[in-house]
Amino acid sequence: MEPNAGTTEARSNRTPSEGDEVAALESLQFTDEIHRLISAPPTDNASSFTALLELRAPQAIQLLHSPESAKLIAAPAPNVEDFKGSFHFPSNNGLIERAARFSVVSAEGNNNNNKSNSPETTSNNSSANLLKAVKSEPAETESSQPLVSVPTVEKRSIKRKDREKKVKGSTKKRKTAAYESSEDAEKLPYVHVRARRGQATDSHSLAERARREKINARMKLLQELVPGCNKISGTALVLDEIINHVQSLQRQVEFLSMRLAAVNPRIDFNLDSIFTAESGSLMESNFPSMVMPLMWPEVQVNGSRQQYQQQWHFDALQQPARGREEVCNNYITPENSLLSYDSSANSATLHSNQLKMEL
Amino acid sequence: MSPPSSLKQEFLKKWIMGLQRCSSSKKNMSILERKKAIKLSADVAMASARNGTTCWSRALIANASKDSSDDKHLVEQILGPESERLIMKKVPRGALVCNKRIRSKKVLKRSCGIRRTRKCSPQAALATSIAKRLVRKRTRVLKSLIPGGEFMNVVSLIEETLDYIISLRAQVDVMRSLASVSELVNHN
Repeated sequence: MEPNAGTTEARSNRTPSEGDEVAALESLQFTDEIHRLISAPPTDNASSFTALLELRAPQAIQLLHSPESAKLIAAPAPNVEDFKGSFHFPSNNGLIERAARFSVVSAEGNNNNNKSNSPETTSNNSSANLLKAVKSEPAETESSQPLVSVPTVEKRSIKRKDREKKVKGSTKKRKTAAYESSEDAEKLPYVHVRARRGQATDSHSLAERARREKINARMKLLQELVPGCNKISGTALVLDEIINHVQSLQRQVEFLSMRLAAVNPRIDFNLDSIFTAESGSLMESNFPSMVMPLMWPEVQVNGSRQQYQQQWHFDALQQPARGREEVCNNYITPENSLLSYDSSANSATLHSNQLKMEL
Repeated sequence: MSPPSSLKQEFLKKWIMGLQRCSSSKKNMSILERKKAIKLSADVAMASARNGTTCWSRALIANASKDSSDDKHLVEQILGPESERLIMKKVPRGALVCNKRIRSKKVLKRSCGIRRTRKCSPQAALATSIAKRLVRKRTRVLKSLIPGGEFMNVVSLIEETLDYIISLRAQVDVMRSLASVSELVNHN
């Protein structure tokens, strides 16, 4: 512990003057630190480390997740001097950010080597990445702290901490970001799923969460499909609506088949008579006679199908088996919809010819 | 989303073909028989329009063509040359296996007991358990509605529901227009 405290103090003395040479020196010391940390027994300073993170990014406080940090959030910004002797990383903001970024870099190293390589190569890569990252760090630390990177960084470090927690089973052990990454390098490769704040990360809950997200995405599609479901929140009510819709559609099919059976003694509805060339004259004779008595302002020859559908929806629901009078209202509209199936021409002959060819 | 007109056209084509084949076999059917034949041919035509890509269509055809059923000949006539391909004999067996697997999973879950209890207030736990029970009840009802739904897990059930709703809408539109037109024709 003593040499660690010594180097810590030395580093904190240099805190006000932050220069490039400092960073370079500290980079060397970092790798030494890492090796020392791996061998040294960890102390229970988890609370201080998370407080470190809090120091670093006050804007990202909501991302802090561990219960210890929750206690510390309530406390005011902690005094730097208090931490001097108690942990191994310096309290310097830039260094903290660099440490956090190391964890990102090593995580990315792990991601790249995820499925295939041996742990040794990953650890080598992570240390190499660390050094590379340190060289590029100084350019970035001087710039304003980017908000976006920090939250993701913290998320990743938090996620790794969670994994640590799961593995070790205790939250008392203090882990630095680099320590965790080297630990990860020695374990088997993971499938990296982004864990959200406040959620467990064992494989069962991850798989369940993926499954739940799939289900929720499909449910959203269903909500868009079924009319009137968009405003409802809650799976049970949405499912209710869906069930009602499917049941009403099935009932409509029943009623319509009954209607069709009733209309014609022959089962094929005299289709030839419908679709022969006489249907052209049929249209002409019917339309003028029908249009006049019927005040049907919405009917257009090229009318949109949505209008028809909505009207018919009501019709079907309210008058499934009524007499012929009500059907007269729909004379014009069904002709049009039948004709506009191919959406190219509005002539009955075209459609009938098509049907004839197909038949 | 209104059903695409290509789907409607295909359905109409197959349906009319099926109806003509039905009428050629039997003459002088009662109204109920006619209704049954019409509905059956419509359903089978709708299912065959999917060409075996969806589970509900296969289940519908399989149910309609169960052995020693009157409808089987009808279905075979309607489907024509594709009947051999679509009436897959192995589907029932696979469905049974799926069902057993689902049932054994449920038994296992129940025997393990409640594994993970989140730290939440008792009211919240009660509310979530009630909500889960409701959702489970509704899922069961939905499974009974969709043909072949008992053998699917929730994810595929929702996908099948989507497809089924679109197909039903197309079917209803076409049948309604045909009914209106034939009524119009009959009156003149």
